[in-house]
Amino acid sequence: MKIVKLFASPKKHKKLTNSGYVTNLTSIPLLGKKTKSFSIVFKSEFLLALEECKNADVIIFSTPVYVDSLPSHLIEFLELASKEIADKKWHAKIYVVSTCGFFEGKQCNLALEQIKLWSECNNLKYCGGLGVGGSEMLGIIRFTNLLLPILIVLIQLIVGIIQIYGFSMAVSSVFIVTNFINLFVSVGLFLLFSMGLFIKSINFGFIIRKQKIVKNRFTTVWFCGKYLFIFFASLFWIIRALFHTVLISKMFKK
Amino acid sequence: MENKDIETVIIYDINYQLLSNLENFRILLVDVNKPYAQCKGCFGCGVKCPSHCVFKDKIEDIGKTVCNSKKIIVISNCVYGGLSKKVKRVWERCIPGVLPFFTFRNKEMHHALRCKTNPELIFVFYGAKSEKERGLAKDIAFANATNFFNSQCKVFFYENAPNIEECFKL
Repeated sequence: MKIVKLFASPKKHKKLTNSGYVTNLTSIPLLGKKTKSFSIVFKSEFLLALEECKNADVIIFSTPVYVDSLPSHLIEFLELASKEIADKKWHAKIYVVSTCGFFEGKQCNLALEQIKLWSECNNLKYCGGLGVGGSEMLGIIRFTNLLLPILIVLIQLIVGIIQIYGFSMAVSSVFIVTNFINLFVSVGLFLLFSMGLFIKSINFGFIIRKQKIVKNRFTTVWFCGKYLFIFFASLFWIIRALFHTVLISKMFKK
Repeated sequence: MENKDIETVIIYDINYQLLSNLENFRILLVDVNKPYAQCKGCFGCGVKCPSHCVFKDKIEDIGKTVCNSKKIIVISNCVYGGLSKKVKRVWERCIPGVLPFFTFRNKEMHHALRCKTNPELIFVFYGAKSEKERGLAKDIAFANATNFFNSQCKVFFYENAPNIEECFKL
């Protein structure tokens, strides 16, 4: 089985983007399969990706949702792909992983339906899509709740070891214990919030592995109500604006 | 023309030459065939330079203009039940018209509005090949109207590309 993954996020570091992250989770059950990944943002990248798609058994589109539908460069790619398919038939089964910043994963449905329509127009088998809501938050907590606490504990351990041979063993021990508790809480929250994502995306990966046909399915941040989500999101935007020396009052500029 | 003087914004992908008296109205005509930058989804328009796009080209203020206008007409070839690539490219650049913050509308989460003008939104699609495509285009148009402006939306379908004067009267 030859799998081609097409990443449509225009951000740098495709695999670290939110849609890239979800797609990589779905790829866990695909380990051992022959997989190739391509970015499909710029025209110059299209031809190489199209060449590989010709012989693919499975194509996985990984795309963010822009204004309720597919991003413009993906529409461009699909149009070009249609011309290619008219020349030489593709036989690949189509799967889609789509992400949006809103809480409801269902808001990805229109983008998934667009690719479904494209598949039907080109006589390709659309086999299902996964829509993930709250993707910005799910992406951010990888860093704030997982990597950052681990890093802090590691730094504390190193500092502690140095201090043991120095002068303040008691103080460093207290810091290490506190940070281990922090680490435990942070990682716990990360796992709780991401549980839906992990379950649904890995399950979707198994569906792809077996090349099953399923209905579009959706997930979002688990164990976090909509209002708590809005609170976290607002806090995130305010802090990001502060990094650019923009105060909250300026954010509402008309 | 100042941004706030513009009453109608027309975004179109049809070949068009300004023939009639449309110049007399306070209209911004956006021809999508020009080489505009592509939205990167960075939300710099929310946190870095609020209400402006981070890309400095001729449509860097389009978000602000559309959210202050009274009527927006989008004329586009219907491609896989949505806007054509070039119209979509400009449409994505309108995102500075909303705030990065979230709120609830129609029991769903959407962006909070930057302006409360609630412009009338008209989508004119041409070249749709099937009823399914028309249905999807309609769904996307209504979703855009709720998400962007919390306003009413009209959707029209033409077999062939219409002319702008005709659309202006819709």
